[in-house]
Amino acid sequence: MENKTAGSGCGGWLRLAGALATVVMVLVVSAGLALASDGGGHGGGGMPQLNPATMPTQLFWLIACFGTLYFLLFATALPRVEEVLNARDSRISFDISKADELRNDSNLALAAVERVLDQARSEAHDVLAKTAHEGHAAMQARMVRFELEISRKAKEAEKRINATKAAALSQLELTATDLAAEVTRRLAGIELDSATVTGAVKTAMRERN
Amino acid sequence: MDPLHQFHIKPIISLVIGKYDLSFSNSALSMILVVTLIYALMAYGMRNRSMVPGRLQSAAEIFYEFLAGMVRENAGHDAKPFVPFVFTLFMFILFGNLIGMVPWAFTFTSHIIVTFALAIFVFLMVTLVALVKHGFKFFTFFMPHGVPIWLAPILIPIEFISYLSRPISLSVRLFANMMAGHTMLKVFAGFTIMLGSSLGAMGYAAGMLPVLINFALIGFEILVACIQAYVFSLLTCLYIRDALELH
Repeated sequence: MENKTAGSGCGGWLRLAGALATVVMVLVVSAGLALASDGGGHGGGGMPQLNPATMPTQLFWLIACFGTLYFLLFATALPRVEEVLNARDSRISFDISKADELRNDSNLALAAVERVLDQARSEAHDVLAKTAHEGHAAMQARMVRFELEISRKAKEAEKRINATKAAALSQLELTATDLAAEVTRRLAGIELDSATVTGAVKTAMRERN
Repeated sequence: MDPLHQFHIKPIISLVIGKYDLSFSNSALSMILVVTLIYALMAYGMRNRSMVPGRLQSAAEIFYEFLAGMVRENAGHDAKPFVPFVFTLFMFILFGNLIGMVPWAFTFTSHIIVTFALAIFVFLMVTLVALVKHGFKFFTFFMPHGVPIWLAPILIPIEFISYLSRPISLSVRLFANMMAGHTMLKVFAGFTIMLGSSLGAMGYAAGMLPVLINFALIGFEILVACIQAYVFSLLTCLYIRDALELH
């Protein structure tokens, strides 16, 4: 009856629960009836818990057992547990502080390494810059030397060329003089003196140049 | 077939002192078994005092840390001296409840006299602690701060009665839970037997249904066994806090 008033969504579950509860109730009631008809054959009649005759023994053994257990735990077992737990706690906190210490140390060492590395890096940079500078200067100096040498050699060569040219020209003059004298002798049959020929050739060559 | 039959106290070794029957009974046997088991767990488990605990030592430490934490959180830091008592109380009730789940074993926590004795001890201890610690000021506990004075005639009796009913609620809760659970299991189990004995094979086949229900109920009862031990010790912690702090 209550199922109908419940939401339709969970109606199925409610119906199932209701059916289960009904089955359980039927079982309980029938079992109860069966037990009632069994008729307290053990003659207890009512709850054994309410029988005052059994109370002294229960109280006596309860006090004895509970007291013994309390004393045993209080005096021996629990201090041992506490001791172990405390030892573990202090060990853990000691380990944690040790780990912190070690971490600090390693951080310091790391910083030192970093510092040394930085220093080495800047030194290397300096050396590199210095070397580059020195190399540049040396190169520059060598270039100047080379240029001087080259210009000297060029001058020498020029001088040599000029000398050779002059020699060649004078040789050419002589040859031309001889040739001119020979040509005039053979073609015109005139024997000219060498001074005249030389002067003529010189004049001609000057005109040509 | 009487489902209450399981709660009968049966003497094993008769012992009568004066007019009192202090016989060693099935209940006492269960109690001694429980004490032995707890002490074995705590003493044998911790025998190596290992920095890295084994299985048994872990169990012992977990129980201890659980209860020390419960006392610290619910009764305050001043309640540290009560840790052994709450520990003993919890373990005694928990093992008593759980050992009762073993077939043919006796559940001593299903007797009101046992749970009431434990509860009244807690009640007296807590009241004594409050009286020793706060003296006459203890009685302000029944008249909270900031309440108009004309409410006092109503409030003080209410607070007083609620204070006095603490041991009753504490003990009845545990006893009723244990008794009801075990009775229910017995009723369902008995139903299977009756079906079988009256209907034969057919009856036993139909009797599988109560067995299935018992199957679920036993899981539930194990849960209840743990929860009731927890509730009992938790309330003890709260009462200790009240005694130490008076609100």
